[in-house]
Amino acid sequence: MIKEYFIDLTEKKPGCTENPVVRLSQLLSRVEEGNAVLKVVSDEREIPLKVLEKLAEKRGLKIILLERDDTKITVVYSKDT
Amino acid sequence: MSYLNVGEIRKDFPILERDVKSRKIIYFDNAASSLKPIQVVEAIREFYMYEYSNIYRGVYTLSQKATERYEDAREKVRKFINAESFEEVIFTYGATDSINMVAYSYGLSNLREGDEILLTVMEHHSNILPWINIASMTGAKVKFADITSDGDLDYRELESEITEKTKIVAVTGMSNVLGTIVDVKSIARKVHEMGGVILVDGAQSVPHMPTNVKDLEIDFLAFSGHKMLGPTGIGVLWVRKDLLKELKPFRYGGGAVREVDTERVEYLEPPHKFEAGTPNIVGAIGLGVAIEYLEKVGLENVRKHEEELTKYTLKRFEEVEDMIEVYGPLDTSKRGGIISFNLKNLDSNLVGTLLDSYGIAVRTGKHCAHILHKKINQEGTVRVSYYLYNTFEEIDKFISALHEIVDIT
Repeated sequence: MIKEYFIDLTEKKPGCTENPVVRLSQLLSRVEEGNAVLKVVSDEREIPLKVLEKLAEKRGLKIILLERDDTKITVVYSKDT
Repeated sequence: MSYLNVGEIRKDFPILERDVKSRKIIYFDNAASSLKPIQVVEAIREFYMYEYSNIYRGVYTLSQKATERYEDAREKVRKFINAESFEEVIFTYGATDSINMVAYSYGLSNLREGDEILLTVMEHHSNILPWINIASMTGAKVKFADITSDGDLDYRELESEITEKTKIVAVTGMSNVLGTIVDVKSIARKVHEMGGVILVDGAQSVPHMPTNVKDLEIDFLAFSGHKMLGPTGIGVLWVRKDLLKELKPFRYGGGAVREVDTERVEYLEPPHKFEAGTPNIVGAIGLGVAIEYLEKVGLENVRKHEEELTKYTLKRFEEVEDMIEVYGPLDTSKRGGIISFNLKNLDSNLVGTLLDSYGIAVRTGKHCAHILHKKINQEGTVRVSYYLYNTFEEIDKFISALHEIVDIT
């Protein structure tokens, strides 16, 4: 069964372990294992789409741009089978 | 120039053969914790399999042998830091535990209202929080000495802050963020002139350069086994011999006493007085083997190797100099093999996540140094930290990855 995860990289949280980018790395590993898809919301001014695409490329994942609203983008990562 | 036979050294670290993201791992997070050579792993395994027993208490052979192994490890530590006697070497659970021990064992009974504890803005939280807590308990005041614009300690400012009120100065031997090596000997002299004591947080310095406590003229030294090829859960507090009588035990329990009755307790002599409970026996033995390994390689060679790696990295950073900000001294004689940096316009955690995609392990965030990050006006940094098994080829791959990351932003 494929689990769906969501992360909002525009949310600023204090502390080192609660940083959403740290969580992004953990969840991308789950997607790599083939158990999950991950929806990510990001602000292109802080994290360009190309960076998110590079993460997909390096991990052998598929990335689809779902939505763009001004600088806010929503992408989905899935296993590239 | 090669100070170490890194190729041969790397064969002792099986983890370096594993893949991360279909690439051989490049481990650049030694400031957080070091990898372990097979010699340490095997020694721990052998001890657990064939020699394990609790120490001190038994009259049987296995216990006596285990006790010998534990005390042999203490002797190895003593020689490693050139301490005068074994009494000065107290096994703890790590540098954090060691510093807490000094704060509570020494600070609590030697600090009064109005006394001052002097730290620096470079300190790791483990060398800040115990002092803040002790200060609140005793009415003492914590002060912080600053750094210069190039990331060195502002020695002039620090020395001007040392007065008759300064009872404890606690400084890092090497910053875990900036890599700055601190001249603790010069600080120690000033501290002693004013009647205070000095503790050195050696968590980053002891694993990476020779340490001679007599030469340094310091009073307390704290360091961790896991940052110097040893296991987790073991550390050392070295205490200058004549200060031992001023320490009250921090931890109470079995193994630290000669006799107990309802009205009276007679404690053992140092160091055992401060090691209540069953210690991390196997951790101490593992640390002893780690020390043997480092002594065989030579700490001076480790230092020189890391200095060359650092010099090379800083040189190659010039290729992306418009996009990178490096923190700490650029003079490699003043810094260890720790380099924190940021790529402009990219969150440090994101850079670390991207580097992981290339199989490169770095640390990101504030590295338990919030005060320092506020000082350098950064929300976080990317940190690479080297050790004896890192290579120039690994740095080439790291720089190549940085180029690719810079190109996409």
